Amino acid sequence: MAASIRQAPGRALLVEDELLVAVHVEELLEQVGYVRVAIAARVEEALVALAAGPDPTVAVLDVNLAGEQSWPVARECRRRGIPWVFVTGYLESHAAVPADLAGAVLLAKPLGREELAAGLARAAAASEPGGR
Amino acid sequence: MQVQSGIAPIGRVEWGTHFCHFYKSAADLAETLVPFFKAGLESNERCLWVTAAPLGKEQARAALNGHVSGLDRRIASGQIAIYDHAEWYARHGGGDPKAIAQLWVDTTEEALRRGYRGLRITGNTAFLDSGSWDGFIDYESYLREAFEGQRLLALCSYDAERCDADAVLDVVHAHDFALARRRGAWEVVEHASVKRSREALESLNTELEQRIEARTRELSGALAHQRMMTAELSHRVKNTIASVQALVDRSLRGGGSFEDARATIRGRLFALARVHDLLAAADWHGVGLRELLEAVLAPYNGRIRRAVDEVWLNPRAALGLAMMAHELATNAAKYGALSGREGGVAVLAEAAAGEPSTLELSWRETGGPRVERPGREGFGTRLIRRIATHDLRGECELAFDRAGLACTVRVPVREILATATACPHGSLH
Repeated sequence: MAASIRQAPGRALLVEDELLVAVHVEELLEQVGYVRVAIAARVEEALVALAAGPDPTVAVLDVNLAGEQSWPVARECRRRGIPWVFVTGYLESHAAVPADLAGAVLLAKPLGREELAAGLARAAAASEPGGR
Repeated sequence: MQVQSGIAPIGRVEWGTHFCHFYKSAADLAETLVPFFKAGLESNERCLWVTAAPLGKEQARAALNGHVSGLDRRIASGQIAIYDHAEWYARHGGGDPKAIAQLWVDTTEEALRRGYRGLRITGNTAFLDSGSWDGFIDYESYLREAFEGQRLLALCSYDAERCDADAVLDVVHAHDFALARRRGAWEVVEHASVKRSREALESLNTELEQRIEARTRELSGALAHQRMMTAELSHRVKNTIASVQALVDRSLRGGGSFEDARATIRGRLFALARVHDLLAAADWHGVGLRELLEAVLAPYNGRIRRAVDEVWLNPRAALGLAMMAHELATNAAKYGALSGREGGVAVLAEAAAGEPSTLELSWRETGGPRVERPGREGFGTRLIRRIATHDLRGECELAFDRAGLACTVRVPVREILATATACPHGSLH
């Protein structure tokens, strides 16, 4: 699974407000083949990064960002056809995903390299035409 | 405590009020005294009415009868007694002012014992002549003090036709206030000192209300702040747990020995805990850079020389810079200048004016083993670079000089500075 991801290296957008977690996930993303990782800590920052382009190959979105939820970023990813996964801490596993985003891939912290690669692969498959 | 006077232009007054009214006719008297007693009777007060012409005992009773239900029953039970002046004088009169005042006070207490809410009295002064005037006014003045604080309401009737200007002034002075009917309308005349104290009382009341309002505002502000802090704290706890998870996870997958991983985890948690301690001690408003570096670098004391400009850091910058210093120090202890016996580190922090003003932090290792650039960026190095460039919006240079590692970080002061009104929210993101 990880091997198939490595064949398609690219850019990743990581939306995470806790720096230590961000650095850890950034490292994992590089290990599964994403050579450039942009980190945004807030919804607004992530939307600006998406608008500025170029589009990342994938996006990893922490659900809870200092009191706001990353739903708007997910909708923007969907609009642009960018596969994304949600990440939640175990304390927030009850986070209710809005109806229009139901079915999105939801990964639990702490993230492992294999879970991340598999989750991104599922998100990529779902975003293909005829997918999600 | 207040009581309903029953007289429209006055409304509620304090218990113990001693006031008077000027009348010109029996109709004036009835118009004032009937509602006065009606209010008293209907609120279960004991009532005493000492009458005089032109509204004598029988006329008074007739006037009241049309307005109060069960008057006969109330008279029979003793709730109200209506006297002719001569009758009352024969029974209680002739004493000195003190004795008569005491009689009223005793009557009030008896009324309370019998279950009434208080005593309401009125007397017509029509019997006065010029010889008894001065003595009576002294008695009236005395009542004002004697009645204060008593559950008693006293209304004295004066014949306007028989009072000259001097007499009117005497009467007004002897009462809390006077009521007169002029051109068909009621007018309230207050003695200036009474008016002043009433005004003083009102302004005191207003001030008190304002103070209560201000205090209430303060308290609800504090409560809102508390709620905000609780939400912030819960957010922090979640983030801290996520950070610790990431640190532990990363340290365990580092590829080294279990002992190495344990030391790494302990070191990083120690640094995190020290910053939390310092921040908690300052209510999460901020922490000084000197104190922060001293706390984090304490395990290497003596080998890290510092020349540090003091900067009051916000919590986000404090956490970032502490992690940075910790990673540099552990790296030095493992591979760099602090790994042997000889080497040392110089830490410089200098705030430079400019637009925007920046803080330059430099870490220079000397006297250690020869340094070589590692093949792949480690977690520590990556953390240092990300904190500087991403979290603190600055820049970071890592030079693997042969003499030793040199790390220079420049960050805009506005990104790291705690403000006086620092809302801890928005700081650790």
